[in-house]
Amino acid sequence: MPRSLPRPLPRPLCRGVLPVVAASLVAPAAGAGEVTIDLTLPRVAAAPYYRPYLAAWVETPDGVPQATLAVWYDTRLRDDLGTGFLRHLRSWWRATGEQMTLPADGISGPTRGPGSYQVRLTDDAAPLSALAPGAYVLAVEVAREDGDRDLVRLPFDWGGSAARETGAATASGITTTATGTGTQELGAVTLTIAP
Amino acid sequence: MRPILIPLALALLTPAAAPVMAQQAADQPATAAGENDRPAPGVAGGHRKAAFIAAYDTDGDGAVTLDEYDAIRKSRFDGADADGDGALNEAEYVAEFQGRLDQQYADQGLEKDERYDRSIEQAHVRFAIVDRSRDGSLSWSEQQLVAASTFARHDTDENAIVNDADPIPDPEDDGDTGAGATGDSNGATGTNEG
Repeated sequence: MPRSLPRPLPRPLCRGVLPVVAASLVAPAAGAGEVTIDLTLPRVAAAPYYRPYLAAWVETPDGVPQATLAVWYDTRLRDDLGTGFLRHLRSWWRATGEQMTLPADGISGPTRGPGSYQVRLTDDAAPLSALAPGAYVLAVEVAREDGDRDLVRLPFDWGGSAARETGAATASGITTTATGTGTQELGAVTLTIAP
Repeated sequence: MRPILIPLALALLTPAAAPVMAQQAADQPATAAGENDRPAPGVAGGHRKAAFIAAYDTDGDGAVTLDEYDAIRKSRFDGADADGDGALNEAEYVAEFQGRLDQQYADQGLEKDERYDRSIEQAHVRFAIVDRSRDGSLSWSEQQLVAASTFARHDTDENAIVNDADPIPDPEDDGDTGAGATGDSNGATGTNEG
């Protein structure tokens, strides 16, 4: 996350404060870690084409769901009728989607057409703040009406804000990325975890 | 997994086949035509090919051509367009459905019941779904999308004719059983297929 540098302090104060400021600039613990999911919805030659539904969630390596990060569905349908089609995101629906209350602030949103998108989250806020350090898998599932379903899973190690506070190795300031690609309905998916 | 989102819409969208089912229900012995046994007017049987053919086979040759199907759809659409603006608003759409539902109930000698109310509610929901532009107005082209989907569902040999020769479609592959079939990057899904 871009952080603006502190403005120069008035001279008399500068000497005493400077070391603290400098420390905050070099220590990764100073701010929230950022999790970015870059994903591409490919252009599909289909008529009619309806924008796909999408869910992104975190699960353990055994497939136990931990947190849903994003749900895109047809929010234009009145009375939230679009949620009725979310079960076609079968893996997500069975794992955790069916239990979810929608719309969910900061998580659910409208469908998107072909293009590249970015989902950005921080590790000190829901839905990731409760995620304990450990090994996880990011799952991104896409389903399109009259089309196919696609699912990409990306394993990752999670330090989280708790690990950073305790100086754990995964919070050592290294940005990690993982990339995968779907077949027809989902292009490249890249997960970036920056301290 | 071919039809993804449309099945729900179709489940709500079966008025076409209803007259046939109503007739079948009327032919049943009284003992089998109880409230819970009889086909739901406007709902049951809508996905069955025989019901589809009986409802749309205008010339009685046992087959429904795309032309036959479109002609009935168009006639029904135009008839429902009470204000003549070339599109159906929700009231027009529901009224058209209600007219046919009422006819079925009359044919069966039934009083309006909960199922009737649900059917009407579903018609409202259906309108919202098939109104693809979400502008509260169902255009003929939007209606045609529904028609094409319904027809294609029965025309499994894709020759623009629905008849006995259309093979029963394979059950939908939900994509979870074949590793890699869905682009699952590590094939780890679907171990608990229900």
